[in-house]
Amino acid sequence: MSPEKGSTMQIPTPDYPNRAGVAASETARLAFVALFCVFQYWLLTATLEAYQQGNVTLPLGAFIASVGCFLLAAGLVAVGEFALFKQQKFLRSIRAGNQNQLNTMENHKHV
Amino acid sequence: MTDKSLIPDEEPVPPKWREDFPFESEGDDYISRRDFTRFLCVVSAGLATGNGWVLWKSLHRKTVATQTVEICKTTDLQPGKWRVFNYPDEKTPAILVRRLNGEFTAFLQQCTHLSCPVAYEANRDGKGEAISCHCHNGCFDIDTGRGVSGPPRELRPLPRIEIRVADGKVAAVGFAASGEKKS
Repeated sequence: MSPEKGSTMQIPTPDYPNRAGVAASETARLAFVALFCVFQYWLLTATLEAYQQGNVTLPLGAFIASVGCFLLAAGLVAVGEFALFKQQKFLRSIRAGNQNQLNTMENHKHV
Repeated sequence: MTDKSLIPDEEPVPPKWREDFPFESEGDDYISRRDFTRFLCVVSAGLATGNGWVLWKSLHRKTVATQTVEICKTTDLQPGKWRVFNYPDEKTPAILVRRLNGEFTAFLQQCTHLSCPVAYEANRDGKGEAISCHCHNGCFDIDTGRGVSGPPRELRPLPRIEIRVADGKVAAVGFAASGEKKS
């Protein structure tokens, strides 16, 4: 069924990346966070070994590096969550807009 | 009554609860990339906490005071034999070795790989005296305590204990510097 003559339905432009872009960015985020985890794991084992040998100065630098890696990983995850939030907000607005338009058309028929 | 012929064809709007439960039960088994990335972030936090724990331990490291502990008499141990004793506390096992040339030497008994107990061998693989770990076929040099084969090669040396022989008695008097040869 075609819409009533004269009615317009705007097609909004999404302000989040398209589906292929989202998949690529998710994959890249996952790869980087995994790399950070691998590096932190190696750092922990090397630090523990150095501590066992009696080195008490290395753990501080290792801790700072490890926290830096965690902050970078958390930042990447936060970017992904923010993009997801924007996407869901946009889809909700489309849903709300469609519903409003349907309600408007219903009301016009009753008049 | 609403004339549905006037309403344009459109898929019904999904209910609100579908937002919170987008998958059927079979779909719940799948883990998305986003979920796995979140999980890895938690792992990263755990690893950083582990580094923090090592830092805390290094800042609160207790220095063990050098103490003298009498082990045995010189006549109790023949050349080529060894015995276990505790040093510097009751929880830490160590081995006292009387080498084939009559010298006494001692090491902590916990292998630096995975803390298996090490033992003295008078002739390991035809190459002479050595300290062996039979868990993973590791071997330490009997002069310095450095790993010479197996997993200990890449790890810290076995801590050597300084020995003093006086008045027919053998006593442990402290730890030697890591990896140093006995003078």
